[in-house]
Amino acid sequence: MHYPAVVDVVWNLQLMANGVRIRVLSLYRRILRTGQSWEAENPEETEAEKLFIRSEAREVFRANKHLLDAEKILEHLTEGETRLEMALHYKTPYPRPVNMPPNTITKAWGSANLRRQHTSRPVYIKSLDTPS
Amino acid sequence: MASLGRCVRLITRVRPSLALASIPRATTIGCLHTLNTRECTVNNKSLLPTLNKTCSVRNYSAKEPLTLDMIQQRVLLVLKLYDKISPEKLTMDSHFMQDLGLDSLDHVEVIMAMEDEFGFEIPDGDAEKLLRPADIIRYVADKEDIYD
Repeated sequence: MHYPAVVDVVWNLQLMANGVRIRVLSLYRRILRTGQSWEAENPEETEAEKLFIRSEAREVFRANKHLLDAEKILEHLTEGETRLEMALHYKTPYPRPVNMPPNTITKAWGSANLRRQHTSRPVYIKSLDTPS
Repeated sequence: MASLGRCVRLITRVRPSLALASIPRATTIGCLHTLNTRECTVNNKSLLPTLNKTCSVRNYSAKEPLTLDMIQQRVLLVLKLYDKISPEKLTMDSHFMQDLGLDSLDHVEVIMAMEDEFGFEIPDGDAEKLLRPADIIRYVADKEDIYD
């Protein structure tokens, strides 16, 4: 009698998938629209930045389109939305990298801190950390 | 009256846009130069036997008159210009995902190109149903109220 529960889960996943899909596609559309009407701080670089926005969006979205896990998809979605907001706020489409030189956190800091290095990277540079 | 006749006869030699300033608006000639030429009857036939019967009409802020045929041509042109669609496989009823091998991200780009071409927003709910060129043409015709 656990069949109904399984069916419910599958149905919920599909509904959630549809909702996520709509968000992903509308994010893609918003990014491309932003790219079309983009004006750079330095007017000479407007074209280069427009091209960057368009090509980066195309690459990153297509590189991750095979994902099926809802959590990972939501992480990437958050990354996309955050990068878009930051680009609009700081008026630059290039992501802000976070750099921590290797061996900043040594064994003396403890294994917990060593582990935290990997998880504490901000979500908006997720694509930079995992080149694919 | 004679001076008017003289002014007007100048049209045949002078570019109409230059003659604009000299023609008072009240004349029945009233034909201004550019884009569309179409047959129009010139009322003062007796005054101007030398004038050409076709004249141009300027549309100040109106869109071009659309017909179903024109919409079809424009839609197919935009699709042919898209680099991920091969023009040989493109027909009116070819499905974007199944026949032309596009994915949903490409579909978003195609719908954006259609929005730019025809100048009006297509909301997401409607956009996801437009999966063939024929659907797009019908949708645009509905929005622009064209019933040819």
